[in-house]
Amino acid sequence: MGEIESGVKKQHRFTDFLYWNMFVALPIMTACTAIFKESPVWMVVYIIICIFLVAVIYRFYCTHCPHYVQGAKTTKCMFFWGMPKFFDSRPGPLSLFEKTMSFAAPVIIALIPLYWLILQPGLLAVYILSVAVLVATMRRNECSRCIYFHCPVNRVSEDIKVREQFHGGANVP
Amino acid sequence: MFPESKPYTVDRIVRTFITLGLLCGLVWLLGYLSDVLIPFAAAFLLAYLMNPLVVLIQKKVPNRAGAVFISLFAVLAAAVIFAWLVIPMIVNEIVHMGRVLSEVVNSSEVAERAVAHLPPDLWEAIKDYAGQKDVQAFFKTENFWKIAEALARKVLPGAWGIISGTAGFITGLVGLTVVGLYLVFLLMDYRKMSRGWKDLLPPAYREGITGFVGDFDSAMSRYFRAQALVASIVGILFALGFLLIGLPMGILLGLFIGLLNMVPYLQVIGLIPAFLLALIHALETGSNLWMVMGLTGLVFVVIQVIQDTLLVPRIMGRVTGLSPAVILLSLSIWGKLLGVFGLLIALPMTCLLLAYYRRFVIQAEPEGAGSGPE
Repeated sequence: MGEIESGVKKQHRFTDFLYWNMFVALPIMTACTAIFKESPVWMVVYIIICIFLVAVIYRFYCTHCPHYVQGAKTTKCMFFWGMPKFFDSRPGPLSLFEKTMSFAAPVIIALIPLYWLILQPGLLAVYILSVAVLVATMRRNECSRCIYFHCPVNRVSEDIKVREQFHGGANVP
Repeated sequence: MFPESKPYTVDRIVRTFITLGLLCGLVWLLGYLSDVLIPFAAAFLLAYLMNPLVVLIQKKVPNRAGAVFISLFAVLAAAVIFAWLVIPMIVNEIVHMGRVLSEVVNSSEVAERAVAHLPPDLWEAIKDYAGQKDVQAFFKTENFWKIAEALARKVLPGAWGIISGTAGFITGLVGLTVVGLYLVFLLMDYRKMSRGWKDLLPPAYREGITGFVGDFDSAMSRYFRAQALVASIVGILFALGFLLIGLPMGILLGLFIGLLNMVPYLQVIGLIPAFLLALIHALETGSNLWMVMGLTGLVFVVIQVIQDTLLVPRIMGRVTGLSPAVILLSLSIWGKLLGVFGLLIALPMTCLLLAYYRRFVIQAEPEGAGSGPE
């Protein structure tokens, strides 16, 4: 799986991309279904907002990620596969503004559908469950071995980070 | 672990009989005390499940009592929110189903469609079932507690007898309070107990027993975490799939099939209600019967493919390493021995026993690494 002895994951495979996109698709599909039942037009608006906010995440968050910094002209990570690198890479830590944007964008994507989901408690339950599964699985399986050490939610232990950076590891700016 | 072979002297035989007698006495004592031990066992299981949350909260709130109460409050709040979301949905879905069933029985238009598409015997059987008084009464109930009572009477007649007859409502409440008290005290002392119990074991058996308990704990937590993740994802996928094809009670049925996934292959049971609901939906709406049935089947096939090609290999890896036939045999045996609980623990227990058999009986090398989830 592209892991080295230290336990951090330096490369993603195409199956990682499929697997994690399926996880992300679950809450988005639930939200779209809930919005579509009330108003198909709003569903299109929501999808456009999502695309815009994903671009915001790509610009402010991903450009600092080693998976973006390293390698070819397209990204090969668990969320984006074959996506052109539209923005210049910015190795190193995120500024406060970049952190705020990186945090706000997914929160807005998650909160917008609540207006329609509250009208349909069954879908709201599915939505909460799918978001909880996504967050818990990502924190447990990816954040704890991710090479994006400057990420605010990175959970790799300090000694592994030090060892990786000492050996010219993945995230040395 | 296994003592070397010794000659069978009178002394040894007497000792063996005394040991067997003590074991029989212990089993009888457990049976005699089961009424008071069950609340403790239930609280212990809850404490085992909740302890990781308490440990997590304790990183922020160093006081153990504070962490325990915050955890209990969080779990209760989550349960209340979940009930607030799900109970109205269940009631609405059941009331809607009642209307559909009543139409199936009474509407001549539906009858015409059914006669055109279904074998006569099957249609008669469905009509008879939908026309039964208790079925009609069940689907007309709008009070959640009455629905829950009716379900409990049907699904768990034995347990319902204990709740309503033998013990009574007040005893049930007292029992819940006792479980709650046990839970609080067990959580407060969990760390001390999890370290201290080893000292109570006879030194000769300490290493073997603690090793087994450690392996058991690790196998169970790894297996259940992975299986719960697979079950959650499959439940969400089924709920969305059924909702998209417009199946009545789709979300509820989807989440239920997800829950069935806690036991491998048990989701197959979900095929029956899914196709029945598809049939009723097609008859009610006048949609093409085979199209609705086909779409329902397609949801099962697509999700099964996702489960088998993406989810299980990624999440479970080759954790069990058992062939499908052995899995089914293991489920049958453990299910027969311990009922639903046996079905839940069948695979990790079988793996554990096989590993011990290889290690101690046939003295095989432990199997190579790389069999875990990615």
